[in-house]
Amino acid sequence: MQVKALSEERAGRRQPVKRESLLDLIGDTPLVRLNRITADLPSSVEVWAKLELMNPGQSVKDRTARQIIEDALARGDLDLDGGRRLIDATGGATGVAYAMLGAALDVGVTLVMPENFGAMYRRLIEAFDAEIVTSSTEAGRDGAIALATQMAESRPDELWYADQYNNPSNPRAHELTTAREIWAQTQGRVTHLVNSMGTSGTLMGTHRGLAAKNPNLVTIGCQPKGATHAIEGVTQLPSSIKPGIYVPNALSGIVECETTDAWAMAARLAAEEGIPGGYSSGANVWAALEVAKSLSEGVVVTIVTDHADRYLEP
Amino acid sequence: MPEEMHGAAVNSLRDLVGNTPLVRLRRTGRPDGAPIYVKLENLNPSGSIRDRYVQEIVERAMLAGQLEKGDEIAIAGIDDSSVAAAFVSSTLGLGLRVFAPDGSSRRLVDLIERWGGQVEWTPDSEGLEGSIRQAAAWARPYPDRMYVDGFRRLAVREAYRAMAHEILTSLDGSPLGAFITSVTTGGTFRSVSAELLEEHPTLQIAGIHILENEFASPDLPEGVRDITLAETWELRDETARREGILLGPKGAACLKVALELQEQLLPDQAIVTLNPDAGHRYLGWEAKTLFKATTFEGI
Repeated sequence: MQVKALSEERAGRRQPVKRESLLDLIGDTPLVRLNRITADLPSSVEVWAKLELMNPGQSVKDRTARQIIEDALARGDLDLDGGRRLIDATGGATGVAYAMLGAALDVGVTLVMPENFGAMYRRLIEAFDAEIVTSSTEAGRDGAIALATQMAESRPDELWYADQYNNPSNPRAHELTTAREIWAQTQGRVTHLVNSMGTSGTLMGTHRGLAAKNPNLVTIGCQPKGATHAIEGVTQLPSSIKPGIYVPNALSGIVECETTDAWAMAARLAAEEGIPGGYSSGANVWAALEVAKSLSEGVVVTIVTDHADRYLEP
Repeated sequence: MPEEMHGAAVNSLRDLVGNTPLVRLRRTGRPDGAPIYVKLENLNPSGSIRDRYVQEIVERAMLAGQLEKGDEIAIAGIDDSSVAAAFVSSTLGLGLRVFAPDGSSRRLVDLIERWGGQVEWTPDSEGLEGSIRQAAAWARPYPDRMYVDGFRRLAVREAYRAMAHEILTSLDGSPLGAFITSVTTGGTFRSVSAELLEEHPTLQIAGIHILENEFASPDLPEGVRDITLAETWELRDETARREGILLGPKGAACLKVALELQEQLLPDQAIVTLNPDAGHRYLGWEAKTLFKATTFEGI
């Protein structure tokens, strides 16, 4: 008797693709409808999550790093013949993506990270043979940026500063790919885009791409409540250096999220929807639900930024 | 627009099990040799190939009315299968108990708990057998509990047959020269290869087993090669540095065979080699004791 595997009968699944390069494996991530955690919402309000944790480097930053590197190669800022190394400051996820792509393309990568930032990120970055320069814990994210800037300025023949906080390639990645995919995956029905901001590149670029298709799109940013929050990867903009790519008037509003709400939502996402997102994903989904609760109808889209694997420790 | 151009839109993560991508290695092996494609099973939602058969078993049980939402399932041992069971039960609204010897490596415990699974430790002196006994005993008297073992043959066979179909679909007609999988009991090896051979009768099928794998079946299929764990780490590290792809030890073992077979194949014959699980989940654990039990398992 020929019995078909149940999994073969599902509609709307991803396709088993063949890719000639790791770079082509980035993006085209699934969009999944949230069901159980939205049980209290009317059926006319949909909440969808873009699963960036299914990128090969397990985060949305794969897109950012790919665009930054491809644009730099096209301009000649980087080359594939053992020229300058890429340098940038990172909280970890962009660093992993740079390191992964640097290995695939044979481009040298140097990353500046505060000392106390994720041990798992360091292991991954080292596995891909990228160099880590440690900046002080006290100086935080802004200190890492200052050190990367200073290193790039003092060694311009050896280092090219990718500068994810100010590099237009960062939002461009999302305008060209993330936004286009969300538009197609919602069949043009998306009404609200909600996300937190680190460099703000994901939200700015996705907003720009989607707003070009739907001028009525409502885009809401999510911010941690208070400067001493513990939501990794999210920047509290009032207390930090403003990224050059951040355009405040792109946003229709800001929702403030407590660290505990972000963490609790990350746990619920895994236990109730099967989605193993990190803490910033918890903040994003929490904010998306807050926005959804205020609607009588709409299609709200948010982003599951990265994988909880990154926060596990041996 | 073909679906692959923008990703799938699905109602549940259950729909994302399987259909994993093939990616070509660019800087490993002979540049003019047969192209080597890695099947990235780590891109299953729980991070391993085990999603395929665990989901098949549990969904079949639900369809048959043996399980319903709110029920609990039990599984023995801490390994990729119990991580998959935690993921699958979370998406189906089931509870999960994992019974495991208390001396087991903690490598995958956080993941199981993240998906809502609950671990019950059993005496280390009784080994995995003791955990299996307790899991079965916990489930048996209650209609709303089910013990899941890996020996639901139909489900396992069908799940792996589906994988063979995927490989053929993703190759899109280009000739398949070789398929390589890691082997513990030989289940994947036999199920997938039988299916592939139907369409590609001249295909080379190769299996490799890691020597430290204490769960390996004593009667492994003919022609299965072996490799030491130390060698797999070396090949893993080299591949991460050259390709930006972090293989697990079993994936690295398979790649060793792929490199050998590349010498015998024509340049237009694709080699498909399996990476069964997530390489990054081994980082930092390589030197720890009791590591084996979470690395190797049956099926």
